Amino acid sequence: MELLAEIGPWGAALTVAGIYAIFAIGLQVQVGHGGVDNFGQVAFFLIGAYASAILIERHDAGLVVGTLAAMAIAAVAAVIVSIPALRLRGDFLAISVLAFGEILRNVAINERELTNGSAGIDSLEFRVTFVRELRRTLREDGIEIDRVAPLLILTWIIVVVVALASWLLLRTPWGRVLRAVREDDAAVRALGKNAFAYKAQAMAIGAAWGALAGVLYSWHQVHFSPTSFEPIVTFTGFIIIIAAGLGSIWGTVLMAVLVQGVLIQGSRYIDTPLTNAQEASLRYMLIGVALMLMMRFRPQGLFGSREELAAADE
Amino acid sequence: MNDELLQVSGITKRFGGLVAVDDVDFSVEQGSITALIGPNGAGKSTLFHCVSGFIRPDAGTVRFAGRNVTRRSAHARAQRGMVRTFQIPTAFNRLTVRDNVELAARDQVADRLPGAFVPGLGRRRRASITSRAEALLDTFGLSDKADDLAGTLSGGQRKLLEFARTLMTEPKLLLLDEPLAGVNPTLGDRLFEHVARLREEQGMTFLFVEHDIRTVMGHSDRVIVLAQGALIGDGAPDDVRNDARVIEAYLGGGAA
Repeated sequence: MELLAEIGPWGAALTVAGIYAIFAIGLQVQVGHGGVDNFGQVAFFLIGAYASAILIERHDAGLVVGTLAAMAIAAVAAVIVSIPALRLRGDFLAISVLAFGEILRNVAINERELTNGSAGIDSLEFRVTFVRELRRTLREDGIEIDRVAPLLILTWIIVVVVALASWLLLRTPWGRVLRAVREDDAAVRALGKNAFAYKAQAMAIGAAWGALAGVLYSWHQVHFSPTSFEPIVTFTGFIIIIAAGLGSIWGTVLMAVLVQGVLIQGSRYIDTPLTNAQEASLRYMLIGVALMLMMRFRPQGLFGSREELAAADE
Repeated sequence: MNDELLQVSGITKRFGGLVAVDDVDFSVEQGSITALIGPNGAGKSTLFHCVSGFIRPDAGTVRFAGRNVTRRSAHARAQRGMVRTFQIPTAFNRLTVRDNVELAARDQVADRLPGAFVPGLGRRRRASITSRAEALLDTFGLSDKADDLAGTLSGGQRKLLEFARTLMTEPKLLLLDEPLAGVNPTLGDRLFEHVARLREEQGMTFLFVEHDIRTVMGHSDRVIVLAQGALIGDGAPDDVRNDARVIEAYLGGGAA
């Protein structure tokens, strides 16, 4: 318990890493296993943050109900987007879901009633009410915990649950057909299986994970605005899954810690003679170089299979 | 007539100004091996796609096992037992050969949501699928390759894998798109030995597309000839071979 009393900045970095792990596992289901190039995953992240905050803060939905409702809304949105988008081929689909994310972000910027425009909205319930109550109760028992500890622990419990659930589901015959759709969807249809339904289901599940990450992100931020939902969020997710190796769930978790926890968030706490802006630029340059080196020396990703990569070229 | 498994009537498909398939009628009898032939550009592939549901025809109907399936999607037709192969054999490259075959089995509760969420559901069914896939891999000489990724197979092996995978769906009617394309004669003969055996043992029905008139002669008991989108011959192989219009279509280069 000593450990939880004073976590310091790394607690926040690891919370964000966990949030990105959940976000990227969603992408891994869609891209790694379903072959659906979802360049708009941030849209579901946004839906998770906004929908849960609105339901919990303004409609007293409660933390659990608000979270589950936000995930359901994202899953339904994913299926609706999928109906026109999945009929498109790879790159066209990628562009149309990217546009979907940008449309949502611009709606959030310009809308006042629901999203409060560029000023953003609050998500206080977890941090302010729940955590305060929890700390007070624990203090009566003589236990002192850090302000960021509850969300850090909750996030990582959810990471384990989401990773385990995804990993188990992808090992079933359902996951096997999904990967067959990734390889050749016409051949899957010819076998009497609805390839479109598999892609839409993968989109819905991945979107629900994306939304869950968005909920946790809103609790972490306490206050957030549309600038948090730019396409770079999706692409950071892509960096994580490509570096982990397409398909690898547990590799994604580790890579989220390395990329988001250490390189992007953690490096902020390393003292350098550079200005913040210079550090930010340097950070992305380092990630770029690391990714290039990986593509040169380990193109299958850290946990991907070289045999699979070779077999895909046939 | 009850013994007609597939009835195609009035199928027409236009691409812009081009009439690729023009009001074609034919039927396929239960237990027969029927060849659909024609010179290049005759519209065979388009007709084949219309029958299998990969293209929606502009007019006409497709009836399978007594049911009108014209408006049914390709996968719904396949579920009913009308299963096609592809001219360039398709394999799920990054899956193992065994998985390629096993996943094709029909009525797996665990390969659909929400069934997949329930642990242990369909376990007994899985055991029977595994042993059936094992037997098919053995029949087609792919047992040694069962745990290799399908992407590592040679062209001929991919053809056999596709055939095994298709059989895993327990089809009533097998639609083969140029089964002999890119296949050496030995393998071609082997494929048709399987076709003959499956008809014999299981009463399976076959419709296949080829463009070379000679190769289909020994392998089919009925030949349908398509030229410039229209049906120009339909009958026993020997009759069709001696039909003046068919000879004209193949040799004359299509005088309208």
